[in-house]
Amino acid sequence: MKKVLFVSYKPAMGTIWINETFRTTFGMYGEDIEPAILLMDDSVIGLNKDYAPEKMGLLPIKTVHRYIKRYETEVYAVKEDIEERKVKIGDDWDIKLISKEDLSDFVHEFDLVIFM
Amino acid sequence: MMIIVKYPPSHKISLDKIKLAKDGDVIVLIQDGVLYALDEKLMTDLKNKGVEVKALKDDFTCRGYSEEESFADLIGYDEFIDITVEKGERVIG
Amino acid sequence: MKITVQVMLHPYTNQDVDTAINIAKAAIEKGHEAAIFLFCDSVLAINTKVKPVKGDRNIPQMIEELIKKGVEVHICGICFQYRGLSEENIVPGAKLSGLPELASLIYESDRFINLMA
Repeated sequence: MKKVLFVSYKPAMGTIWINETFRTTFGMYGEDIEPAILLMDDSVIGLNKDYAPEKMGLLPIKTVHRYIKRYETEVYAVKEDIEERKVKIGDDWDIKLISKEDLSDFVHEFDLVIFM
Repeated sequence: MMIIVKYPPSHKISLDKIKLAKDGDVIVLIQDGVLYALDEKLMTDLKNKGVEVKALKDDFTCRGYSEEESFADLIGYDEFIDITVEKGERVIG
Repeated sequence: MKITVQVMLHPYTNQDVDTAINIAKAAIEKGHEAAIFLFCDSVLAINTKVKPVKGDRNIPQMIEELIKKGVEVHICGICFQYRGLSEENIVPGAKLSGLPELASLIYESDRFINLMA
């Protein structure tokens, strides 16, 4: 079993990163891999209750929620990044918050940490 | 763990990655990440923390710097592979 | 030992594909197996129809040389289709694959180098 953390940090709007991070993560379940996701910096905006990429013609985030439930994927986010951006987390998310000071210990629990 | 840093100091994420390093880790600076090798204080702080720092020589010198200006150990791609083999079982990239 | 490198950004606009080529080449020269997984815009690196100006490197040709030396080159299929690339223009020997192959590479490779950030 390999523990792999996918980290999304780029802006959540007008880009593919959030969806691409989740899509890649779900793609890991065919192997003996335990994937998890960390959202930090501007990617945390994707957690906003009214985040609606589909309004700009991008892929919606709703599909992601379905797969998270199906695979029970752990999703983490950096607490300070959420507070700084005044993100109001939607009810569909079950997010585990990590403080910046705990990030180093947290990422060292994984075999691979893949910043996307 | 082996931590690969490719973005320059002007990209916040590169310093965020450097801050993840713990005692026993090795940071490998590549591409514009080699600019961190010019920062004597940061390189010394990392060494004091028990973190090794290497920088790709080709990426450093092709940006117009001489080897003497680097405060990190300069390595070739062959040594990059050696480090990957020795310390890269777990990677932050 | 098998060493895989994943790349994501455009060739020519960024250095990542060049770095991946250098790492794969060094790995092979040291007697290791090497693979490159081209993800998102980096799939443009396998388009043999590129026309770099005189004096610049030809990245698809460099990739072809690597493949001849035994490096596996994987192309994310969805990323490839998104960019409207044509199968007839793929560097000979590069394989259209996808996330299942990426998952296998992550699992099976002894070392996995991600150059995405």
